[in-house]
Amino acid sequence: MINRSLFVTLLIGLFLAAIIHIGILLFAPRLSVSDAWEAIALPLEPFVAVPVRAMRPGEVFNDLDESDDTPITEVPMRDLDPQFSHAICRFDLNSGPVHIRTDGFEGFWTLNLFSAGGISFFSTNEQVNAGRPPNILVTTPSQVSSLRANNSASLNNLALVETEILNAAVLFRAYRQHQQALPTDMAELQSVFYCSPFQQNPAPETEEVQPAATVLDEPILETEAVIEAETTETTEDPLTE
Amino acid sequence: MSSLSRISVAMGLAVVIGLGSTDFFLRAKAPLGTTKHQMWTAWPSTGLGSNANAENPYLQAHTARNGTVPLGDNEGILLKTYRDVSGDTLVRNCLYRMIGDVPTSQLWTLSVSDAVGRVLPNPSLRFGIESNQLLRAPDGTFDIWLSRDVQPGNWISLGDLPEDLYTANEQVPVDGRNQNQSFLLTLRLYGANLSSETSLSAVEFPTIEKVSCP
Repeated sequence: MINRSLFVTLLIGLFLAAIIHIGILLFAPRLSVSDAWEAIALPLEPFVAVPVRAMRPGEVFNDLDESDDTPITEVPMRDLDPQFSHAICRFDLNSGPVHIRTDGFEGFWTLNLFSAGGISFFSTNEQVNAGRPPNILVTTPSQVSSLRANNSASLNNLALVETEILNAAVLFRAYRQHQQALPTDMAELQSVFYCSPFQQNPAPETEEVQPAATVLDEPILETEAVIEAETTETTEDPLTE
Repeated sequence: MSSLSRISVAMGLAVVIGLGSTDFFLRAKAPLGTTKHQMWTAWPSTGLGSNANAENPYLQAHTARNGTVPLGDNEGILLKTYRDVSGDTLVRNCLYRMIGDVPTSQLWTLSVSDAVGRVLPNPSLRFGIESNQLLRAPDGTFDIWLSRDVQPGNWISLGDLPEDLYTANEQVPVDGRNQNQSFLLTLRLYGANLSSETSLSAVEFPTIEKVSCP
């Protein structure tokens, strides 16, 4: 009797242990506070690219001081390729699609869209993108269908990424080649790597999509101007000439 | 045995084994979901991608715990090793030589970091080497030297800081002892069409051999 009850006790113990094990594993990406989303991306201003640098020995992962009011101008990250330079940008799709692109950057690159837990939901590279710089529109399925309903010509040349994930971030990895790297200065980075709210070209009947678009203010003009510039070839690129 | 003591034994077991086993798997240098290819451990992308391992909860939890964004499905393939070809831990005092070819890819890089992926201080900025800048012999073969001291040819620095300064800087010893000494070698294959495990196991990977230690 005693042996049997001990056996049952152990069995119950192991069963509960398994539940704890599985529970922690499954919830780790959501509950973690030190993952790339929670600790690195979330504190960032949305739609503003920030230089990422390699973490140095002695640096603790979650080193960003939250009580500190000084704006973040670079973020340290580990497990980065030192032969690449990196930029990160947080975005949210609540106010409309997001346009990710570079200006004046040539060479090999890869890009990763991730959200909670640092878990990737989309990735691509220069080769997959037919050797061109990134020009990606991240949207929800309903946003893209209303864009299409407007017969918007502005979707041309854009790689569409449809997702239901509204809060996410992009990590852009740019190969260092011929002395070329992403700026380590945050202000300079803003004119090289963009992740900004998307503004379509005005179409005849745009009533339904207007609300999303009107929320956005000055970046719109900038985005539009550069889309035009891109379609007419980026010949003003100083690095390639 | 009273029912109270039975309950406490069961609860105690559950907490100790439950937490202990989870911690063990999350600390593992090659967690479940990674695959071994000769001396390298391949890390499948952890994402909502197409491959079966992408949604492996062990890998996802590992990624979350480490605060990294691993290479995604379409970015490239990540291979790591903490050991040389004879199974010894890679240490920064020794001289190593990498030989053999790297699977075909648009670009590959080989880089050195500490055990948790932080860049080793290195005034010469030789943190790694890439396929494009490689010096090759006339027959196309190459070797790469890894050491603290400058080597002719393809050379990656194993860091220059004196050991004591290193220890003083170290705030959190992660992943056990000899944190300062050991290093991690990472091979990244970009734009490689090798995403499936079967194609990975069909190719030859380079090997690292220890040449000398002081």
